[in-house]
Amino acid sequence: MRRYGIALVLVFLTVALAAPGVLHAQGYSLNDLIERAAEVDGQVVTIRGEAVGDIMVRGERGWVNINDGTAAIGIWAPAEQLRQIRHTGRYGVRGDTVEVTGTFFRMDPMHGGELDVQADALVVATPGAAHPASLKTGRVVWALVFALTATLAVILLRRRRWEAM
Amino acid sequence: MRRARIRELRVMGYYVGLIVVMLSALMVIPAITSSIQREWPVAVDFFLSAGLGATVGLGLMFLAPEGARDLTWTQGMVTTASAWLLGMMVCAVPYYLSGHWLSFLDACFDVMSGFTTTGLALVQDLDHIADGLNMWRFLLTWLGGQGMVVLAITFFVRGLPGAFKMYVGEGKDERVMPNVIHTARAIWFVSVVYLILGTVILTSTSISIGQAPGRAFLHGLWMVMSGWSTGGFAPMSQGVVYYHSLLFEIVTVVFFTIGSFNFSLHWALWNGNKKEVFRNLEVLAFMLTSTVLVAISSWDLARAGVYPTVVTLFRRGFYNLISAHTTTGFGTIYARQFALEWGPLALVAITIAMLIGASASSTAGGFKGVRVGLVFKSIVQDVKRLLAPEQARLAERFHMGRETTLDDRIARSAMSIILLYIAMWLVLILLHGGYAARFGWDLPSIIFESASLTGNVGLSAGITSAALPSVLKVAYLVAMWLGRLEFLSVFVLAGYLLKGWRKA
Repeated sequence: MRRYGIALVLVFLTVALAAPGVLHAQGYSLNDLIERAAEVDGQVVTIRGEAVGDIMVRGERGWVNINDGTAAIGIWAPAEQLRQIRHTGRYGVRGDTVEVTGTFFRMDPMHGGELDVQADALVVATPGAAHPASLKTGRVVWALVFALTATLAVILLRRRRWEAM
Repeated sequence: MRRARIRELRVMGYYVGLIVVMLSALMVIPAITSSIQREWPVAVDFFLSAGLGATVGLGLMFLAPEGARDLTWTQGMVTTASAWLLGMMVCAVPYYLSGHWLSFLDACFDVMSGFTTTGLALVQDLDHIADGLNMWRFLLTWLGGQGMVVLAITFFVRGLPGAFKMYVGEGKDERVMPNVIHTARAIWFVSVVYLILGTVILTSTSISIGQAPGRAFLHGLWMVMSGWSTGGFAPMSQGVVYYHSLLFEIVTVVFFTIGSFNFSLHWALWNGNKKEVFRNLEVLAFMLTSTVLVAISSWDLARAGVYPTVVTLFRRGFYNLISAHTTTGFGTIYARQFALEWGPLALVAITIAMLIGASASSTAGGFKGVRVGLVFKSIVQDVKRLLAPEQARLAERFHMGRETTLDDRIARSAMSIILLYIAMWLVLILLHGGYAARFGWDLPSIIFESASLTGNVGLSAGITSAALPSVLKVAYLVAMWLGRLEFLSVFVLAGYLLKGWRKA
């Protein structure tokens, strides 16, 4: 049993040394990637974030920007994987949370030196949804009150001008 | 005496009120945008804010005395500086109501950043902001670039004698036409033409890179508003990086470079005077400083292997350097990458670029290329005088629309303004220094951020955030205000208030 345990640890260490990128890059926030870009450069990372804005398809691949609350970065992914994304974050919409595994570049030579991730796999981890904001009655009332006071001020100003003429 | 002073305040209040009413009326544009996009709560916020602002502005106008409303130079300056402050507070109301800004101070900060075309932002969760709010952010930047007073003079003030004094108070002293109202209209004409042209080009670009037509139009319009005004705001949190496009970067760099030139140069070109480009001291100074600074930064970035190829150097080095020099603040790298990856020489080059800025009487900030050119010429003149025979009378000349003799008064004025900017930069560095240990800021980042503020640039090394202490936020706000109005109006306002307080 003990030998089995030692063998398991050795196998684990071998895998860890053979693929340091995969193991070391797990659990990075997007801000960590920016802060430790030189260290993580060229490694395979797995990151999560909300798809925001537009999905910009350019041929067989395309861009989606993901935001995990610490930062937002661009993901260059196959177009067919991008099509899984149903919701992208914008006003009133919480975008799909996607999990991306791919190679992180501090200075991607393919994209003019951009800091990005070239995705191998992209999956929707949590679907997004629309969250329409509701009207606040108090604000509607105040808007009407101020519209009234402004109209009154215009009338008074005009009246004074007429009297002066 | 007291009655005369109150009358004076009421006259100035009239103009301040007029500008506040104008800004409130403009809230109809984002309100309509929100209504079209079915962002009903945001639309209501804008109507509420417009009503509140109009009531305040009309109230000030109502208090003004009947009859002549001429302004002295002091009153013109005080009026402009006050209008910027009250206008800022009124324009911050919809920001604050949206919940995307953590405090009213943060909302005021972003309005002032827009007005002064700085581009630093404290907005939270920008990627989920309403289109109406974005429209307001970019509209304020665009107005700020041309000048609120310029707008008021163009559309609201007809034949009022105080107009020119307010116009000068806004940091613009160029008269491209004999009459200030015609000058203001010329500035707006040029800006609107570029806005239409830029929107068409950038919308097409955005569609070609994969944005849906509706979004492409809004992003195209906003990025031209921001770029032309050398503002630096972007609709998404990543800035220009969001678009991942060389074409997009080329179009924006062209527009913000054009926007950074003097309005009188635009007017000369508009009237077919192409030679002006090659003779104008400001253009020549900009070409010289940008060439030298781009060369230095590119050499350092390439040598250190930060951007080893020509394309990466152009997109990450040249773009950001020119963005800094024109005081735009669009960035193609993440804020922290400046601090983490750029070498000391490249950082020094970009810091100098931010401090110098672009052209006077343009949308840009900084102490302006023309002042650098004038100081340089005056030094050359002094050396020539020392070398020439004692009885010789030497006169250096410079070209800015017309040939002008460089006298000591002009050189001293240019030097004074440069010294004021440098003094402000040093004060900001000291202020940051007081908080450096608490926030873990290093000196290069502090120097960079302070230069960005001084020049109304908007690039950040990662220091500017909503977590800043209120003292620093207020200092930033004042620095942006001082930098954009080129000190004079704000100093006159401070002097005026001090004088009033002593008499009271």
